[in-house]
Amino acid sequence: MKYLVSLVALFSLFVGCTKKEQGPTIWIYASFYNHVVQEYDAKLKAKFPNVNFRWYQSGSENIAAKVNSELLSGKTQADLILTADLFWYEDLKAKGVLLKYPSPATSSLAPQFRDPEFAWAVSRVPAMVIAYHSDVYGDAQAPKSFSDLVQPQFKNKVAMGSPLESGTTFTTVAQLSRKLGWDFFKKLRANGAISAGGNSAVMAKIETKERPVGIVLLENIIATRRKNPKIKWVFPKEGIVSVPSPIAITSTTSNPELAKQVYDYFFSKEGQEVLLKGDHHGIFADAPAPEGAPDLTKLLAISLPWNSTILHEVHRERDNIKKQFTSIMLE
Amino acid sequence: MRALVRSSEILHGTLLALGLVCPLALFFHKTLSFENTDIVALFSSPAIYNATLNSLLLSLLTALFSTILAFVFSWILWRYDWSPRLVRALSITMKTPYLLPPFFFAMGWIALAAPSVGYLRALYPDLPSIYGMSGTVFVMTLWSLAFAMIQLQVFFSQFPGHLEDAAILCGASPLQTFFRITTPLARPQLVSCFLLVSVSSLAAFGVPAMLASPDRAYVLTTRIYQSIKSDQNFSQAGWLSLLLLVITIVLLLLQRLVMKGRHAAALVSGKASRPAVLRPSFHAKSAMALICFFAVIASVLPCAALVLQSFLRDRSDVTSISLEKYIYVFSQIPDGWIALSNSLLTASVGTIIATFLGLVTAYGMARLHLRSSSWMIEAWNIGFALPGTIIALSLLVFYAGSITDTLWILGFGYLIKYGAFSARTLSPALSALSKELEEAAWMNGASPRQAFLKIVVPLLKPAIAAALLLAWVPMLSELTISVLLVGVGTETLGALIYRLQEYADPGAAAVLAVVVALATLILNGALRRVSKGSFGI
Repeated sequence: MKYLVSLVALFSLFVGCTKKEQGPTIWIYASFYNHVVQEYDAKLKAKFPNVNFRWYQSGSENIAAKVNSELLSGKTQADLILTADLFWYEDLKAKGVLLKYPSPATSSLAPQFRDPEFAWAVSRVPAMVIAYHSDVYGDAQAPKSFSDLVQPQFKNKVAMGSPLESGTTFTTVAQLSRKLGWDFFKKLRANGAISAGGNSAVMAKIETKERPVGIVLLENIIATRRKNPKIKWVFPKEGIVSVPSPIAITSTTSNPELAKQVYDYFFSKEGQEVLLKGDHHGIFADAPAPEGAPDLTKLLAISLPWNSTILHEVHRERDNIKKQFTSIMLE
Repeated sequence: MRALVRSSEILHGTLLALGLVCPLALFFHKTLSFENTDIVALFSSPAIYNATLNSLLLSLLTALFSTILAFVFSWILWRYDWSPRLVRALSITMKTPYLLPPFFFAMGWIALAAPSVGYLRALYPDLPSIYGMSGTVFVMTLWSLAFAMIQLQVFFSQFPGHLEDAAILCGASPLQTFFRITTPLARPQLVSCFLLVSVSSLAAFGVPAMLASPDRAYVLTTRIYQSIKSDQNFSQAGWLSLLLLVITIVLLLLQRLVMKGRHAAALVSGKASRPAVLRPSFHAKSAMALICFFAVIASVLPCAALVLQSFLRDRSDVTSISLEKYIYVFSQIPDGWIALSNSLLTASVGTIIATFLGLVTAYGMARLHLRSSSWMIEAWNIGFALPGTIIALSLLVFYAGSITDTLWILGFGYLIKYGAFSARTLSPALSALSKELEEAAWMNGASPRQAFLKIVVPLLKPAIAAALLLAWVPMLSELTISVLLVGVGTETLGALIYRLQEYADPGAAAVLAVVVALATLILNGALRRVSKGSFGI
């Protein structure tokens, strides 16, 4: 008893006496994986030694929910936001939450990858493809297109993420509903496909063969293949879904100049190289591609089309797309 | 001493006002004044109708199965002449789940019985899927079995065993005594246990979120979570919470009605008043085998699956044993240490405050007969009975833009929900302590405060340790409140484990669950040793 109380008191003292942070703090809300956050954190601390970097890491849609609820009480704590749901950034821009920053680092980007009013710019391009476990399906039996996933041989075998949690999955659902119509999802549901969690959760299901086929990000497959080469990918015939993922500075940041420097860092050579270590495609065409993947130019060439018209149309329909998907796949 | 009790009551009252009364009042006010909510459309939608039905089904079926099984198992262990070691081992094994959050068992059962890949599928390929409402009821029943056995423990410790002996002497068989003597006498406790388990299952979030939601079956708590996290529809979340609250209040009122005039159950062991034990017949031995089987599937199997999963590099290959996930969790997940530190801090501080207030309030009630102390304990019981989702939502609404995103709001939530454990443990222990000891100290010149500190507190050491443990354990890995209240930088163990399990890495979630479970079981073992088996599970 004496020891228990002493232990608890000691711990409370330890926590209470923890050194307070010195210098400015930059909060970054990011939908990166842990290892990418850690890599960025180390590099940023080396580049900005007097700055405290704090991260909130989650799925894009969870971050959106977090920021939206923070905005209800006035302002968000985030200084920079890096997620994969570009349509939500349009929402934030309309609400005046994003700082307009005409960064010289983004001047060479193609027009569809930066906001004309400089509220956001795309810093990476994840690609959604089909993955399968080659123990279950040989190369000949593996699906070749998204439409194949509704065939009887894939009944109860397909998994995908949830657009309510993952930004890349939301873009995929938006793009596929435009390309194949909502009937595709109705057939997918009838074929027993499940939609839950984020890309890691889908990858885990494929790897364990619980669901040996999945719609998942190329970067997850590349990372998984290092320890399990039996996982393979297919670029669907309809086209892969490239997901332009932006970065933005919030207008409520208390350190706008510092936030701009950090923003620029993500577009620097070093910042883009970190993306490569996380198996992401950076935004610059001359950057090397992740291991075994086509470079960005080839990737975009085999992707479903992306332009500002699509961006604005999907942005308008964002809530309806989620509702429609929920009623088909999740109810 | 009266001054100490009064000042702690002021602190206690302030905490209750700021953590329970005001947030709940504002929450009701806000929910009822949402203008753009079409309530008729909301409550007539099939989705909400199904969620309500599923909640009721989960709550009532779990309560029914676990109460019946707990009663039959407790009676067989109590009535027949078994080896005391076997009874003790079985009793501890079956009650252990109570120490751990139910969603740990959902994680264990996902590892065991997930479609295609569950470890049990190698032995039983046709095992039904664990996902869906039936899997949820199954896991909740196994977890609630422990809760129900603890609730019924007091009944069997107080049951006049000579009544069964008299029936046996008159020619009744053991089974006849069970149905004609024990069951009718236990009816109020059985109904009370049924209602308490149903309230606890109704408020469950983790198990239905992990097992029912993937099968597109939702209950009220998961719908409320979805309304806030995905739809950002606070009005809908508010109305659904009100519905959940109404069902909870009805169940609690029924429980109060049934137990009117009877003493509430306390988690303190007592001397059993047993009848002459019977030599086990063939049927009794078969029933005992069944209990052993249940003990294995309720406690051992899911825990073993979690441990195994935490050591697997590749989840689909049970031979890929390695420490990779442990190294990954503690060296590469920055949130891991933050969550551990946040949970330890909030649980430890919350526990110390709850135990101090519980002790002083229990003293005020038992020794000074203060009505205000009884009210405080009653208010804490209301907090314990409220579903965690409602506590979290009301705190979110009340503290919007102020202490949200801080550990304070989590601490408030934990104190309101689990503070009752301290007072519930300390009140019966204090009542059982003879007042003559304090009076002797007074006669020798000690002040009431000195008598309290030098006589009461030392004698209550095991009970205080039990109160600390009983409040600390659920706070450490709390999920239902945390999942709604955690913010930037305030990640907790429960919320992180849930996020890893559902979103990113079930292996890493298993590692954290194993660490928490191990710490809890070690503390429980230490408490049992210190208190010589009087406290703890």
